[in-house]
Amino acid sequence: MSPSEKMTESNQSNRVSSSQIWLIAGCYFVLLSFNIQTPLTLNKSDPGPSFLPVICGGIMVCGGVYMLTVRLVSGQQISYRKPLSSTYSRTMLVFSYLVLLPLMGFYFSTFLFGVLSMRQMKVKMIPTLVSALAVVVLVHFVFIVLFGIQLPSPPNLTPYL
Amino acid sequence: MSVILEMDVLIPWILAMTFGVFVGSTPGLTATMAVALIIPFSFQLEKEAALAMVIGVSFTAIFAGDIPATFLRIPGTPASAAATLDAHRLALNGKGKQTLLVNLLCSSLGGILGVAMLILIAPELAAFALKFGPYEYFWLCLVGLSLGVTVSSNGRPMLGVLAAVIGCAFAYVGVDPLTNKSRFIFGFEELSEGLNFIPAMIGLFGMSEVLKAVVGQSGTLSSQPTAGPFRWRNSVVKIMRHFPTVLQSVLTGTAIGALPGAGADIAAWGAYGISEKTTRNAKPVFGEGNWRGVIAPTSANNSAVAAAWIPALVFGIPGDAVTAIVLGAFLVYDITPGPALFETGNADFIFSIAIVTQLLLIPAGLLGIMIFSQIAKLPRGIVLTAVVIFSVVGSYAMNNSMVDVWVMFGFGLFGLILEQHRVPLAPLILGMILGPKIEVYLRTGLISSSGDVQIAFSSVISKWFVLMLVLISVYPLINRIRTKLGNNHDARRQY
Repeated sequence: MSPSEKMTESNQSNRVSSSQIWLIAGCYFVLLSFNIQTPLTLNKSDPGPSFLPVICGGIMVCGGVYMLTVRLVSGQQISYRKPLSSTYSRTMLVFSYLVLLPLMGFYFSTFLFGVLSMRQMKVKMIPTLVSALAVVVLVHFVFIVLFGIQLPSPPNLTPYL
Repeated sequence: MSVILEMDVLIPWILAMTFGVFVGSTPGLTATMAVALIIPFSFQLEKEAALAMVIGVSFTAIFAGDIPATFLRIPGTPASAAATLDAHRLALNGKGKQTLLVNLLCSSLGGILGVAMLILIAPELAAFALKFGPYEYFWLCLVGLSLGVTVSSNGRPMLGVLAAVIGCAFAYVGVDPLTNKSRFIFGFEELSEGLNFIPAMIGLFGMSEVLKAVVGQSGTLSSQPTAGPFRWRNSVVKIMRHFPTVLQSVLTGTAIGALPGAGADIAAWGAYGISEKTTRNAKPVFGEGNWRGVIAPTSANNSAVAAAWIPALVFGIPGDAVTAIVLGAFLVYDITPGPALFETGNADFIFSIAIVTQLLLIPAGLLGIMIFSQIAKLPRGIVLTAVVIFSVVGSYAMNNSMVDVWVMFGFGLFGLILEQHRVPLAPLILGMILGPKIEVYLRTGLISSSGDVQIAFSSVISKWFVLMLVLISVYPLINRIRTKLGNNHDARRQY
């Protein structure tokens, strides 16, 4: 059984159904598509830049209507897997890493993220410190030394000090 | 031929292929990048060694993309996305190394057969490819999308269609290629060039997997990929047993790869779809660890790489970005693509390199598998953290921009939500690949035919594609009716 399958099936009654999400997303996308500007010099035979986006939005709406109809007629609904609390905390950790990356630079933020993430996933302290350092060194060697790619560095605050 | 087997050619050649494995298996680094990076090194060497290095890397990086796809569910290259579904499931069942061995042997075999076809029918196939106009390409892409959706929807075709449509919608973000008008960029000029496909793929498959992973008290995952043994004999027997699938996939890969712009990714999905449609009572079903689901796309993607050389060598029209860079390298060494190439003997020289490359792929690939399987033995907390860091750095490296990193993270969250609602992810990726092509070919076709839609159905090739599209659309319906009739028949027999 995959980890995702281990996630608990949630109660369906207090939740916005999938069909409504598709319907709303489809309608919003159609509206956005109609707002795409058509150039004055458009070739007469070209249906324009909004043509296929409108069709895509239309298919989403039709899909939502179909699923809603199936749900109302047969009472069937696609079941939903509720995420675990660890998913939320890991998402927040990655989000914080991405926010800190341009502010603190690659080396410090990556090492900090490595330590916190591994500790959250129950890796012991010494292997955590060694592994976090090793990953930073490896990324430095591969991306900066070997490929010459510039990674985010902290902003230069010297003029303000 | 003897020239390419000398040590001063063989050593840089093998080193370059090892480099190709390394780059291809690193998320965020592409086959195109690998070839582009090896060219400055190749200029320091003799013509034979230089061309061997460049051609070697172009084939190796495609296989290497399957290594992280198998162990981490992150396709290293877009051409590896189709094999991810079954390969990762097999790795979860403790067959990581064996899956990659089968994959490697099929890639090599597919490459050899692809090059053989290139030698035998290159001019004829190139002439056929030139018959494709915008409408023929439009129908081809639509057939590819439909085939991919029906195969990878895990029995939920409606959700598969909606996922593909969302993929197309994401692909329309950015400047419209025909009118230069911005679409869905919400004031962010960074999005003008569209959503980068690689960060989206890393996010959907890799980041979502990390976010939802369940870690136990011991720091291990409740379900995690295992390398296991190679099982050489068993792997060879599996390939022999599924040899018709290899041949079928090589033909599919060659046919699609020979079309300029079609590429190895479409070839892999096409072969995967055809294999699923032609397999009766597949157990386990495709997407749940079926060996055909590994053999078909891996045989097809390498043969497609070989076939992409057909229009490149015969007419000088590169089939994809990798071939375009390699053609540039040829010109540096005074090898000009065109009919004259076959008269001067340069074509034979290139074919020899391509064939030997397929054989050298096996030791280079084995080295990559062995190194990567050691990583898989580490505690999952370490591996998952490293995956996040490599995903972030790999996405950033595409354009030196944090926008790509946020796109990757956004797609990771989106993938997580979609999987919670049991929406299959593979059709979304397929929509992102084919959506822009469908739009451009359809609109170009309409412009060139002055809006006459009838011309879209006029050529023989178009008619065949439309027929295939109808069959693909009707097939699930017929299948459902057959299953219902079968159930009724069984019920009557019981009473």
